[in-house]
Amino acid sequence: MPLDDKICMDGFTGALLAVDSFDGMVTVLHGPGGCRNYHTFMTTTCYPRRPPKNFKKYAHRYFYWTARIPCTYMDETDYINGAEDKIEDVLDMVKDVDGGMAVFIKSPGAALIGDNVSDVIERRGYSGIAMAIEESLISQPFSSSYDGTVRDVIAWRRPERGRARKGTANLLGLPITSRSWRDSLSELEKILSMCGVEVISSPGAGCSISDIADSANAELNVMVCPEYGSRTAEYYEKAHGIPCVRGPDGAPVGFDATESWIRAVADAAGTDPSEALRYVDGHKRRAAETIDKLVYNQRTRGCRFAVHADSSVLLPLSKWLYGYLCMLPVHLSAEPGEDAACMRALGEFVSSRGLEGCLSKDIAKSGAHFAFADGQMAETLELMGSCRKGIGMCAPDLACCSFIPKPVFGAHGAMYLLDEIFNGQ
Amino acid sequence: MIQIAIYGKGGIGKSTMSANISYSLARMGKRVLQIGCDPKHDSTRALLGGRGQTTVLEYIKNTPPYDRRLEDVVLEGKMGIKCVEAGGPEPGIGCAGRGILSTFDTLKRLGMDDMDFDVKVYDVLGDVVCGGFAVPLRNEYADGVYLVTSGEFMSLYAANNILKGIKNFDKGIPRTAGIIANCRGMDRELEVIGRFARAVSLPVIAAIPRSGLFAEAEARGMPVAELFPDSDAAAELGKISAHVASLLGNPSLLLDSKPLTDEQMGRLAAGEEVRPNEGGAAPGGPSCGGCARKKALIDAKSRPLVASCAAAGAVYACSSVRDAVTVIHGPRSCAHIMSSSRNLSEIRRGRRRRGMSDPQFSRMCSTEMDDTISVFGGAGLLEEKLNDLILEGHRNFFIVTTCVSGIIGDNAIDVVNAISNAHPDLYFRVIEADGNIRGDWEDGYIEAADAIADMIRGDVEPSPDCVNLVGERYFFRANEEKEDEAPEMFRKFGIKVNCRLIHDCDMESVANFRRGRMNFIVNDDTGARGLAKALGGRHGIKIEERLLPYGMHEFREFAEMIGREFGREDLAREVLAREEGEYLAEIAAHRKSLEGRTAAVESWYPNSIDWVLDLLQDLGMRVMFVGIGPERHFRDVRKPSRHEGRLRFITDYSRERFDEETKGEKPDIVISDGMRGDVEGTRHTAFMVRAGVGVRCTLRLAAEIDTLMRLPAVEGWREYAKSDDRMEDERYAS
Repeated sequence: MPLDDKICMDGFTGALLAVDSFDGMVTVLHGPGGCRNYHTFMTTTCYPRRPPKNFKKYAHRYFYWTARIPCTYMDETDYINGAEDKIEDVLDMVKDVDGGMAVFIKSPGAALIGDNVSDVIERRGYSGIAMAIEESLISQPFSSSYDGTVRDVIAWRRPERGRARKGTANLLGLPITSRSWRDSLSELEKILSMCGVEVISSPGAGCSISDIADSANAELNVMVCPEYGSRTAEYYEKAHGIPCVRGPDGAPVGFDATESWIRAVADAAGTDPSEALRYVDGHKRRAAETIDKLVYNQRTRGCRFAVHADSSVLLPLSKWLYGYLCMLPVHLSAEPGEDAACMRALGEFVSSRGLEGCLSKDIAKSGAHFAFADGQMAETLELMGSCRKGIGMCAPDLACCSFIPKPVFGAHGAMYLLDEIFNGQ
Repeated sequence: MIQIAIYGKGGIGKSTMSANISYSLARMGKRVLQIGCDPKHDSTRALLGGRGQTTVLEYIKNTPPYDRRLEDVVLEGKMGIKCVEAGGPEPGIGCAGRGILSTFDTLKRLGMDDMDFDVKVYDVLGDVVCGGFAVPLRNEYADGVYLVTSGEFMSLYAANNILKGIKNFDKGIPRTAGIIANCRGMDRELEVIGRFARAVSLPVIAAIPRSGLFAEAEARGMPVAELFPDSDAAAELGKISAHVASLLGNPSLLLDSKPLTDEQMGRLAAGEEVRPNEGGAAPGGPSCGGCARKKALIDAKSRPLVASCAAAGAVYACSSVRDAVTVIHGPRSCAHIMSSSRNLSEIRRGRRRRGMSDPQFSRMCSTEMDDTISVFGGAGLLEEKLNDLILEGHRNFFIVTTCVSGIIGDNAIDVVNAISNAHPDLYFRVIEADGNIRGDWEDGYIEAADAIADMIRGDVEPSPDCVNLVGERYFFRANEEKEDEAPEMFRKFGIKVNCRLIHDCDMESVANFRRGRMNFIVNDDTGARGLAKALGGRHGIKIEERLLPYGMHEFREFAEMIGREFGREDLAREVLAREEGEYLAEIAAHRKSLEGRTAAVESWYPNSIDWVLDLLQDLGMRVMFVGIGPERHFRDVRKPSRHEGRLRFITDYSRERFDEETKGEKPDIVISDGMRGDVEGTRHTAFMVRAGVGVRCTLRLAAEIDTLMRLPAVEGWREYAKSDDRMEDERYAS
């Protein structure tokens, strides 16, 4: 079977990770233990955090000795009779353990039996500290579900808009599954600050409960990856009249798309982009000098590359590698939940250059020298000898941990990608 | 706005009532929405002039989410009444309750809540009050419930069950509007209905006479209230509409639900008068025969916790067969968890081996059940997937069911049988693991392994120099040495490994399993023991009691046995002498630095650890204690150690017990058979995850202990983690 038929994450995983992206929120899985272990590992890898206080007291029954994503451990009896008693029990426990807020996500099996978690929460008087995502998740792509869940959590907290704070923004559409997302966040905050825009919250990327409260006062929303933020942006627009700006070339990946992203934000905020553009330019100079001094500085020219990524990353990355390094795309495919505008632009890009063939090949047989994909697929391709270098950009990436910042977005992101390409030859 | 639900036994006339009530309300000038929640989807037919309409479930099955529009599923009927039909699966397929949930989800998502109505009427099948069918009962949807019943006992019984359901959801708020008597022409029918109504303290809002006018109106696709406005039936229907209208201004007309007990229902059936609240009302609860929702008989806390999934175990086993595809019949989530976990493990192993070929995760695929399939059943999707795979050229298939297919009752076997009949040359095997419904990982693994063992042919003769390995499992890098060392150990005796059931095997090697003269369990765990039992039972294959050897002591016995069994005594003695020589030389070297050092040994799993204790003895180390625990892991399976009496053993051991025992003196090293996590203040190694077989595994452990002893007991970074912990504690405290 083609490797890009690999079974990707879906909305269930998206919702679990979206809730876990909030500081001070406990994601409770209402479902069987088999659905829990992987996600506990995944969220711990993507967003390492301290375990909740006092969780060891409940370690056996609902935490099973690991801190993240407590679970109701549904079994056959629960499928027949419902498991509302367990939900009640977990609610008491979550309150006692962390004093934080809890969001319940149902597993695909649990969603079938119709346990009304919201009803139990209300009945027990926990509506202020707990909510449930009752929406069916398995039909949704990972990214849309992530986005929808972030939106639902924010809507539940009902942030109130006071006076709009001039020059402030919420950064939307940066998921914790993006490699080194915290470094990407710092990089994008830095760039925006150079544009005179202060980021006051980043829903979906380490946003705290107090950040949510403040988020309604932002002057505008700035989009990173629309697949992960469009529904949240719609909420802010509808509920608080906050407009959203997005980059014309998708996410700020590579120098070109980062620059166009900066210009779009500055234009929307009515600020001066020159300092931020100088910052990117500095990186461009440094990159050019480094490449120029390499003995074999033409080694990348004519190399073949493959990308399997979210559409808003796929578009700018492909264009950048093509134009900046003269590399040839041999396989381009998008994760489900594509952004229509990005896919349209990608179609125009490949057809205008006669590269349509790259939209249909099997990534493992594409003959790419460089394969850009999620961490596991990238490394698998490399280990299988299907490419010279696999470059991971997002989760699942459970076999890796990074000590050196490896953000994908912004000028730093471009440097990371260059580092991987030139050292991977 | 008020929302009412019309509940009653199937076939009692709810749809007719609902359509007529909606029509009468609309004639009174009310803006009405009617939602049919019965899978037979004929609730709104009379309001649409006899036309059917696209059901919501049909719609979501055929229309991608981004193309969905509310106006496609909401039609305008007579008098401007807005009509919706939920629809449902084919009888016997999928989950109709789930269908109702999906319908309400979809309507909400498409913006139904933004439309203004005075009255919303839900027409609901009332025989079942499981999660899905209870949706309209929940506060968010139905303010008041009307029960439609005839005087027949089964109809009254269903009405009483609905009252129990209402009681479950009423949150102490009165939700019951009254009873609508829909007469069937029984003798003294109204008297029976009246007796029930008095017993449950509800009014009979209207008594609809048995009349041919309903059939006539239905045939013409019209409500009776429209076609025969002056009839007695229309007059009675008018009373219901008036009652609904009165609720609009006065919700206090709604009453508490006071269902009868079964005993009271029995007396009622016998013609007795049952007084209201006599002996207390029945508890709220079940009525659905198929998926009855009642308090679990066994308290959740006293049930053993199922922490893993049988489907995952089955998929692991099936995907170990190289030339077969494993189809995971369920949602993509399940398949992703299983394939990605396996992929991770293979990456870690691939790094060490500097490559990866034919990865196990790439033999898995999913039928990608989504919400729609859960409603309509996944048989079609499974059929489609298998046909696609056949076209791609695959010939051997395992199909593993998940909890979603188990809950909706998909019959994967029928689908596979049909395809198998069309392709008799291909191999198919269904493993009905049903997620965690059938048990945990080990249960699924054993079930699948047992199924795979069915391929073993009975007519194959043993080969004189072949053995089989049974029950190998390798996760991440655990035991990876064993993967190579087991065949290597046999090679030293001139013996080949015929089949590794089930690890890195193919269909042919499984079929020729009997070519192996002897069969050895590799890992002593539940899965391997379960598989051995299955092989012994159904297939009559003898599995050696003796495990592959760990350490010098076991290797001596093993070498003698191999020499004897395979008639190679001289070679066996030669191998043993060579191994013994290497062992003694290396141990002597390590002993210089390890003699007198202290160790605590922990055994969390019921494998023998005597080889570790032998080694520590040979190294001259002092064993402070041997912790055996917890008790539940060892009950009935613990074998006595050769070291008991010589060393101090602590049973029902725990981490707390470790802390207690090491308060005064910390051991220089803690040696554990599992991934225990950190041991504060001293060194730690987990031997099982790195153990190979034979003598080599002992020497590796000796070298590791020696290395650790030459290094500081605690890594420097831990100081920083501790200070970070302190800061976090202060933050929490403040």
